[in-house]
Amino acid sequence: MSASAHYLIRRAALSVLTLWLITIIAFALLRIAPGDAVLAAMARSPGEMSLSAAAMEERRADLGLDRSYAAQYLSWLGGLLRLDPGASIATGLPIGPEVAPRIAVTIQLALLSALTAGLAGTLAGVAAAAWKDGPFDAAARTLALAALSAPAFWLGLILVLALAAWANIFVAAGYRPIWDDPAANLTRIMPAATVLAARPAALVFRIVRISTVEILESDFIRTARARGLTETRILWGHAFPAAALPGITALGVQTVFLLSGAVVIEQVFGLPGLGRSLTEGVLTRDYPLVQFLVLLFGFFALLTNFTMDAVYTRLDPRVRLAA
Amino acid sequence: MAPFLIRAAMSLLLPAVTAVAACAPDSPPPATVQATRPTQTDAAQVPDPNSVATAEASPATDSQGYGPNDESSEAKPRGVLRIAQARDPTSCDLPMAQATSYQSVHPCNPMLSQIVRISTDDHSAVIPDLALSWETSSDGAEWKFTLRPDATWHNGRPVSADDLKFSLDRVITPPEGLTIGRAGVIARYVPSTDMVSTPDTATLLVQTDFPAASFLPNLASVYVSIYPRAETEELSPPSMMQFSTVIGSGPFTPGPATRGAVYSLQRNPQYYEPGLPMLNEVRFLVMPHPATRMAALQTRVIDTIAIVTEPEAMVLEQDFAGEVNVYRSPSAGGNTVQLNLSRPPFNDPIVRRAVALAFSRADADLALGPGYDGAILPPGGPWGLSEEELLKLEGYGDKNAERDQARKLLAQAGYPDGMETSIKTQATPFFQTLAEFAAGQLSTVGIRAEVTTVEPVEYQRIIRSGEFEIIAHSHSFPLDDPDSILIDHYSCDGNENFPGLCDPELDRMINRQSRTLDAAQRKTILDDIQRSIWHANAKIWFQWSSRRTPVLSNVHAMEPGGSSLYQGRRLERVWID
Repeated sequence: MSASAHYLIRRAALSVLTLWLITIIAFALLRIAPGDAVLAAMARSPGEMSLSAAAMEERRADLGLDRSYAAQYLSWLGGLLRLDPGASIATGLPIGPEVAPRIAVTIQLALLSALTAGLAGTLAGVAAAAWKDGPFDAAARTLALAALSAPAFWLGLILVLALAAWANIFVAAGYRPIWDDPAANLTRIMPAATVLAARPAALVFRIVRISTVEILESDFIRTARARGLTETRILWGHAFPAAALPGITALGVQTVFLLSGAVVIEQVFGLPGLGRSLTEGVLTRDYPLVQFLVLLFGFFALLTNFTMDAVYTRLDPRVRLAA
Repeated sequence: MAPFLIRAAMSLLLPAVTAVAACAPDSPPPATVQATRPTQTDAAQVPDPNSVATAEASPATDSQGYGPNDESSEAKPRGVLRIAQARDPTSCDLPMAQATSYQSVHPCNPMLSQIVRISTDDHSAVIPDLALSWETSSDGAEWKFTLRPDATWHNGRPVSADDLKFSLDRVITPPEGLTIGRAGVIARYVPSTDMVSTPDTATLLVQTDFPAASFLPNLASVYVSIYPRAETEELSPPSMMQFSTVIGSGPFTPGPATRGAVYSLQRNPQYYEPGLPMLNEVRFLVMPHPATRMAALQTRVIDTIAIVTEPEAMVLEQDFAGEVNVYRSPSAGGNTVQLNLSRPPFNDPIVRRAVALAFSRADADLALGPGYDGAILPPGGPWGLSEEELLKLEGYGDKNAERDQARKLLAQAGYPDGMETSIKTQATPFFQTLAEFAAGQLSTVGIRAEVTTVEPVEYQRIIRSGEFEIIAHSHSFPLDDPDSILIDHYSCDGNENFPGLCDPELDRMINRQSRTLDAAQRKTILDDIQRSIWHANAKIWFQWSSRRTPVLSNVHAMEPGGSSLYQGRRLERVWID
C-alpha cells in the first residue's frame, strides 16, 4: 500500500472519530442551552400558548426528555447506527424525509455561490492586476472591501428592498425544486447565491489579484514578453492559470463557510434549506433535528477537507512526503 | 419609491440587525409615532374595526355570508389569494397544543369545520356550521345539536354525528402522545366522554357538568375543529396531523405543499355553503423575514399579511395609498407588566399600586403605536368595561396627579427616595421595547428598573418559576370570552397567572360568572371581577393592542370581524376583482 493510501486511510479513520465527537458536542451543547423542547414550544408563540406544569411534565415524558442524558444520547446514537435519526419534536415527522429535500436546496445554494464566487473573483482579480492602479482596479478593490465588511444578511435585505422599491421586482419569491421547474428554480435561488457569494468572491479576488500582480512581474512573463507574445495571451494564457490556483484553494476553504452562511441567507430569501431548518430547530429545541443537522454539516465539512487532502496528495509531493 | 426604501430600511432593517431577530417569534416591534388615542365602547369614538386607510371601501357582504352585495361586482369563484406568514404550520390538529399559534390556525382553518362557529363578521356571535340548529334544556346543561344533512368530508363521505363525538372525545381525553391546547377549556364543562352521545347520525347530545355560559362560544372556537373518526384514527404517527394529511369538511382542500416555502389550498366544490368559497385557491407563502414580506406585498407577489407593525402600516399607508388597505382593529390582547406577588417589594399592595399609577396609556400609544383603553377583558367587546367604568379606575385619571400619589405611596411603603428593581423580558425586539417603555414609566415615580433580556426559552422557565420581580409581557387571547381568559390568567392555579395572584374570593366569582346564563347578570359579576383584578395590580395592562392587516385593494371581504386573531379565518367569502 502506498504512503498516500496510508495517509488517506488514516484521515478517513480520524474523520469517523471526529464525527463521533461531533455527536457528543452537538448533544451536549443542546442540553447545556437553557430550557427544553416543551418550554421552547411556548417560547415560539409567547402569549399564545401556555401549558400547566402537569401537562409540561407529561409532554416531557412523551418526548423521552425525562430520561437521563446518557440514556437519551445512547438511544439517539443507536438510532444513528441503524440509520434512523429519529423524528422531529416539532413536527413529529421522521427526520430523514424532513431533511432530504432541504439538503438539495442548501447544496445547490452553496455550489452556485461557490461557482459565482470563483468566476467573479478570479476574473475580476486577473483583470484588476492587468490594469493595476487603474480605475477598474480601484473600483474592484473598493467593492471587495465593501463585500468583506457587509454582513451577508444585510446585503440580502438591501437587495430585496432595493429591487422591490426601484424596479418592482421581488427576488425572494419562495422556492421551486429544480426537478419541478429548472428555470423558476434558478430565478429564485440565484439572487441568494449571488449575495452569499459576495464575501468569498471578494476573498478570491484579493488573492488572485495579488498572485497575478506577482506573476506578471516574474521572469517567465518577462521572457514571454521578450518573445513578442501579446499582453492578452500573456495574461490569460500564462499568468491566469498560475494565479488562479491559490484562488481556487481559498474557495475550497470557503465552501464550508458557504454552507454555514446559508443559515442566515435562507431566512432572508425564504429558501427552505438546511440552514433555516437548523435555525428553527435551535429555537424550538428540536433536539433530534438539530443534532442530526449539526452532524450533517460536520460531515460536509469533513468531506470537503478530506477531498482537498486527497487532491493535494495527488498534486503536491510535499504532502505525500509528510504522510 | 425612494422614500419607501428609506423608511423601510429605517423601520425594518434596524430591528433585524441580528440573525436572531430574523428568526424571532413574529411579535410586532415598536413604533414611535404621534397618535391620537382611541377610546373604547362609545360607538362614536371607537375606531371602526373595519375602517380602511384608503377611501376605497370594500363592498359589504350579506349577513348570510354568500358573497358581496355589490351588484356591480363580478363575484364568482375565481382567483388565487396569496398570504405571507413567517413560519410553517406546525400541525393542523388545532385542538392540540402544537397547533396553537396563528401560523398553524390560519392555513389549516379553511380546510376545517366546527359544530358551531364564531361569525367572521362579528366575533361575539355564534352561528351554525356543521350543526344547523341547537337547543338547550331549561337548566342550560343539556345541548342538542342537529346536523346539516349536506356536509361531506373532502373524500366525499358524509359527516356524521359520530365524527363530532369523536372530535369532542379527543378534546376531553386527548390521545396518547398529544397535549391539549386551547380547546382544553371544553373539558371544564364536559369532563367525561360519556357526557357526549349520538342518538342518531344527525344528532349530537352534550351534557355539561353545570349550566355553562361559555360552553357555546368555546365550542365555536376554531380550536374545537372537527375531524373524521376513521381517517384520523388511521393517521401515522397519530401524534401529528400534517397539512397535507388533513381531511376536513371546510371550503378548501389541501393542495400541493412544500415545507418551508408554500402551502396551497384548493377550492372544495362539495362545500356545504352554496356558492362558496369564492376563491379557486389560497396559497400561504412562508417568508420568515418581515422585510421580505413587506417587499412581497409592495410588488404584489402576495395579497395580504396577517399582522404588520405600526411602522410597516405607516409605510404602506403613505406610499401605497389606493393600492393597499390597512385594516386596523382592536386585538384581544395587549401589553402588560406583571409583578411577582410572592416576594418583596411587590408583595406589598401599596408598592404595586404605586407601580400601576406610574403608567400612562397615552405614553404607551406614543411609544408602541396606537392601542385601546381597557381593563381586564378585551375592550370593544361584550364583556369589557364601559368607558364610563374605565374612567373610574385608578390609572385613568390625571397622570400628573396619579404620579404624585404614586410617589407618596412609595414613601408610605418605606421608599421615600424611590426604589430599585429589575424588569425581565425575552430577548426579542418587541418584548425588549415593552420592558424599556415600562422602565421609563417607572422612572417617573422614582422606581429605577434595570431591564434584563433573557433568551426566549429561558424566559419561559423564569416566568413559570417566579424568578423575577417584574416581567414585561404581551398576551394574545383566543377568544373574547371570560372563561377562556379569566381562568388561565387570574385563578389561583391558572397556567398564565405568572404573578401568582391567588384570591379565593376571586376564584369563586370567576366560577359564578361561568355559571350565570343571564348575560346582564353575568356582565355585572364580570365588571366586579375586572375591578377586583385591576385593583390587585398584579398584571398591569397598560395597553390593549391594535391589529393592523394590510390587504391589496382588489381583495375583498378580508376585513377583521372582531378582536380575535384566530377566529373567522375560513376565507370562504374572500374574493378578488
